[in-house]
Amino acid sequence: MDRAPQAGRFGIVVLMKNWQAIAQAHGLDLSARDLERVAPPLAALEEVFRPLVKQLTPDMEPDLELHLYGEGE
Amino acid sequence: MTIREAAAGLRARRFSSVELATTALARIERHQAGLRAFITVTASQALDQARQADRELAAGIDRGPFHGIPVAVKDLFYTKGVRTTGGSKAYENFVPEINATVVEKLLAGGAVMLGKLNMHEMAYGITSANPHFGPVRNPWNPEHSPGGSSGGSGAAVATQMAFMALGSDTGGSIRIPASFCGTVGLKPTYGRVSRFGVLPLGYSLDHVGPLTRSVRDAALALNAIAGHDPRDPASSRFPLVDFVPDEDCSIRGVRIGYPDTFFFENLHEDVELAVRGAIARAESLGALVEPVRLPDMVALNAVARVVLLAEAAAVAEPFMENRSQFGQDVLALLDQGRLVPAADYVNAQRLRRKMRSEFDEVWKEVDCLIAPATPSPAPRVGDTTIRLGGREEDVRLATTRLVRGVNALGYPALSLPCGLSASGLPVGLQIIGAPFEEALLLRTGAALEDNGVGIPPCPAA
Repeated sequence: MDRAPQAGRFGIVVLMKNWQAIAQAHGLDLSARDLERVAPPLAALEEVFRPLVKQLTPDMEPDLELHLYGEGE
Repeated sequence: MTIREAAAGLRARRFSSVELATTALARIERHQAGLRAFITVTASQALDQARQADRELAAGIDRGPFHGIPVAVKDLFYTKGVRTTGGSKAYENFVPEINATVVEKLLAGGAVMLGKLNMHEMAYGITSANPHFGPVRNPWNPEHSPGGSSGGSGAAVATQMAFMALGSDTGGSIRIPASFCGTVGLKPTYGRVSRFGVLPLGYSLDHVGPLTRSVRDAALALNAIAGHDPRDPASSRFPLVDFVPDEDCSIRGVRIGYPDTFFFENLHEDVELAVRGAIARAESLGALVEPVRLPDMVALNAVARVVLLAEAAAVAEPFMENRSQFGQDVLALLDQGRLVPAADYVNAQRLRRKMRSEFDEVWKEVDCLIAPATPSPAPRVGDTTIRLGGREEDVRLATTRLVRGVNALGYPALSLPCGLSASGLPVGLQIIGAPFEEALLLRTGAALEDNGVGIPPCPAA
């Protein structure tokens, strides 16, 4: 993680995900060793990312264009 | 010798381009076994180009500052007829039929192409310990990492194998090797330099830029490669300027923000000392240095990671049937990316827009920021954790934590060496600016460089 997770930073409980089940649902059959490389970083990222998502309101649009300042073609 | 000095020497006939290329090729041969900076060396082609450059200069044809100057490019830039691997097995037999736009521009400017530089596999990592083409080593101490993903670019410039090397930066991949190898590295604004003909890692995060021996050389390189390219859908039409700072450039009155939270937390003491020294030098030169509070950088890094995980997984999807062709670290990241839900990618892009509008407010208070490029000097090869500020951190996350967020914002950032650690390793700072303010960053960097901020040449050069 970029810094120690702050539990309850926004008063939101982050549910633990079953990464192995999610991987299987994606058709990804990870060995125990692979899972060890995948799950902890994703779980740590989840702890920071999920509370941020909860702050979003419907009017906030994505930044999906591939140019920053309306200059591209 | 810098590009400017070499260009002057060529025109004064003190030496020829063939002599410069021959010297560069000899350095490559001397260092290749130990540093593995190159994947492919195009010696014969380089000498042909150097001979042509000499003939043209003798005939009064002058293509500009790169005429006759030996350079090299990271092995993810398309080079016509020359294998382009991306440091991976996935592309090991890929021989492009075209040049990347930036390669085309350099060749049109008379540059002499020495070859293709080693890198982290797929540009997806910060060690450049490439499992297929050998690990790049740090020329200041081969027991330490050169950084990455443009590790070969950093090693080649630090050892004067090349006057300039092109790199790419998706989450710090120019600034990290520049910091660890003691070179200048410039990540321009997103859209300023064409990505056409560059193997992608993260479409909305990839930037192309130079690593050089001096700030003014980086400016010369940006002059050579910047500009609108209709073949890159993200390319900007923002007006170009001459990016090269004046000889007596001043930073008097420039408002430099000093982000004391986040960027100055959990640092190696030698890094903190060197960067604070450079900031004090800026103040002594008349810059207005003031503390500035930034929006949530931890959140920004998380957003940037979600975007990169998803985009890189999308890029690599066609290659995933053969999992064994990837190194374990890259495979783990690609697998992580495949587990990011589509909704999270979209939400990360929503957060990215929100955060950019928050960060844009910073430019009302200051003209640029000065901060460390990396929180520590180059870690030892093989280290997976590093202790900083009394806590243990994953080396990859620690190394990218001060650089990654800037990619999500698309802002320009210039890394330059500002000191040596007690163990003799380079320390780098970064100057971050508002969109398309590269000229200001380069002027600030040049003023610092002109006034003693820097390091001696790498002893291995």
